[in-house]
Amino acid sequence: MSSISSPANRSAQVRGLTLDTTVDLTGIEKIYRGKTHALRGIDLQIHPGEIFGLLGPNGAGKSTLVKILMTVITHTKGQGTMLGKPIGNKATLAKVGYLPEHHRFPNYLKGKQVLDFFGAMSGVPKKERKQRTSKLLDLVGMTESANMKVGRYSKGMKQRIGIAQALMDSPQFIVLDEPTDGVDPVGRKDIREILLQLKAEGRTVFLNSHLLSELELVCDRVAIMVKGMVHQQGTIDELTAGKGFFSITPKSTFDIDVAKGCRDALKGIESQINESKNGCTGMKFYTENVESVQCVIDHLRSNGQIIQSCGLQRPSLEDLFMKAVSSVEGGATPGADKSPKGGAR
Amino acid sequence: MIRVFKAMMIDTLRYLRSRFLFWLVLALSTLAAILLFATYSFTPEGIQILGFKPIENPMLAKGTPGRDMFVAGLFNGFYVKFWLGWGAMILALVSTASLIPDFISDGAIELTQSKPIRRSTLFFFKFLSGLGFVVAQLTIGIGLAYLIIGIRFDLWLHTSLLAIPLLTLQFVYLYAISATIAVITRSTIASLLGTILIWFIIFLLQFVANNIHKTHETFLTQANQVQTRVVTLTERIETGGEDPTASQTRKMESLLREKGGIIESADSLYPWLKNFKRAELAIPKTGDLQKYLAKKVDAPVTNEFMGLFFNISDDAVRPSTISKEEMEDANAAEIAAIKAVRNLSITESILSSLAVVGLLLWFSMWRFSRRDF
Repeated sequence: MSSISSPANRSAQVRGLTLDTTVDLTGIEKIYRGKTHALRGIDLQIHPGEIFGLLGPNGAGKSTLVKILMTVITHTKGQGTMLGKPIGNKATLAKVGYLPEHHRFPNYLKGKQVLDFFGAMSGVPKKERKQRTSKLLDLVGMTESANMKVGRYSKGMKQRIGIAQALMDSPQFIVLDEPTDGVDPVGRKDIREILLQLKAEGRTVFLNSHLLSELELVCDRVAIMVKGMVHQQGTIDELTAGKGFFSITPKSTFDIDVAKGCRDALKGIESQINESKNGCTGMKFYTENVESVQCVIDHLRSNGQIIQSCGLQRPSLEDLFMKAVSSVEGGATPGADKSPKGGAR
Repeated sequence: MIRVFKAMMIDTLRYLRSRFLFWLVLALSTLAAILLFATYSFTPEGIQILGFKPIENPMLAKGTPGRDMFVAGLFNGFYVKFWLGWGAMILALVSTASLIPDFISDGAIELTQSKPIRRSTLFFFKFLSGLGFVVAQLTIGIGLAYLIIGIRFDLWLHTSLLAIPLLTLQFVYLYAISATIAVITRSTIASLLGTILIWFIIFLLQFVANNIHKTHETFLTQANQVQTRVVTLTERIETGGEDPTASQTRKMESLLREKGGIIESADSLYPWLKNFKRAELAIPKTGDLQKYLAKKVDAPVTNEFMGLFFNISDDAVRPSTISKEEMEDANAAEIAAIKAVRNLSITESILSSLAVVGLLLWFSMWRFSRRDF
């Protein structure tokens, strides 16, 4: 678990906060209509000034968790705080910006009217709204399309306006649910830069995304949710510590029996053989001990194989994610991300 | 809070302005006002439609009370009752039926729910902003009619402006039903059809109640008319100083029997009237507002309006089996009955209707506040 970084601490203090956590959840559960168990006891901490990524397969309960934080739905059990106030406290939301996953801005509004409207809904005075609108339009690269109706926007443009909307109340905590959904690679890069800029300003960002490579690029800490539970959380270094592996790639494919011989030479160490129809294309040995893989190299060389590369690698976020999902049977609670329509508390 | 309310009002007006129906209703209201009040003029002989030859009718001649009655009749009976009270009201319901379902639809509700505003406040403001459509339409429509009538005929029907708050109130009654159905079902179609169905049921209930009331009042007036005839006959007999003739006795007995029969009929209707009036307490009484407006603008009842064009007791019109006196009495009784029905307690009607509306809104807010989206 990472501690609060000192720049973040400083920015939190500048903002008059003496909080250790922006979000602190303990045992949060959500049961829809007494049947669907969408969240099964979520324990999660988000620290001030960090970019926190939440990942998980469809139906893991990510959006349900976000909606609970945003008071769109209520939790069934557990407790938690957001910016020091119990979750569900409406006044706290004045300091929170939110971009929902499948947001639907009114088509009859122009881009700048969207910002003005949601700014007013957050209680931002008119003069400030005007100033922020032009600044944020500039930030998200939408100044030229500000007078165009939202109905004529592309998905990417809507996402950009959505992000600007989430920043209208100059929030301390920003929750972005799939912000790069439908955005082209250039747009994604722009969004990443915005996120890093927000972090540099000392704001806390909660990112919910399927794009693991992107999360990896910007997140200080991540949590992996599977079947309504947080499977792992921490910095990427923490999560990957001790999970390094040696990847061996031969110059050409070789017989599968040779690969099996390598595996037998390293008994007790988890391994993976990459196969193709012509034979083995490479191997992975889940150990960080360089001495232990020497016998594998010896075995390959004694069998006349030329090794093209061999090195210690850290697992990617995708590796961690896939492992977490596969380690939990089934991987997801069907329908957990979807709240039943009309479900009363 | 004021900032949020203002933002929601502006947003709703932008929404309505973006809808074709908003402009259609506005255009139709303008057209109706022009057709009803700007296509004819009054001359010393009668009425002249467009540039055609004047139609002679001393009842409608310039400066006569008949002319005022004619204009008030068109304003109340056609413009307010049929166009604004029914046509425009249905179009307003169609226009606004999607407001709350859209507001609580997936992708939209998250954006507003995540703001620092209590859910009940959010819902109430949305409801209020939905009234903007009708207030805007009515202000323009009624204002236009008021100005045309005033400028063209020098007849300033100030009380006609009461139609703005009264018809807005009528819409409040209906929109509360629409909003409640919308919160429960999240469907525009269900909200619209449900509201129209309930409105129709309210209309039916009030229609039956009105007719019972009207018939009861007609009986009472008829009983008074017969009593007047009895008094007249008694005076005639007493003035003669002699015993009544056999024919006079028969006439007196017949009148007393007739009076007894009428009172008996009125009495038999009374429990029905009482029960319907009780039932009316449980509904938002849309019809009462129009009755009150008709009374305030002194709008003629149908018989009076028709009387501007022909005499109802004329031999040509009157059935041969009915005497002229009976025809005039029946006509007078009906006019008196309709005016009696109009003479309702508007405070009681509005307060009891608002109580029902309040209950509906309370339920909607409770449901909106508690549900997961």
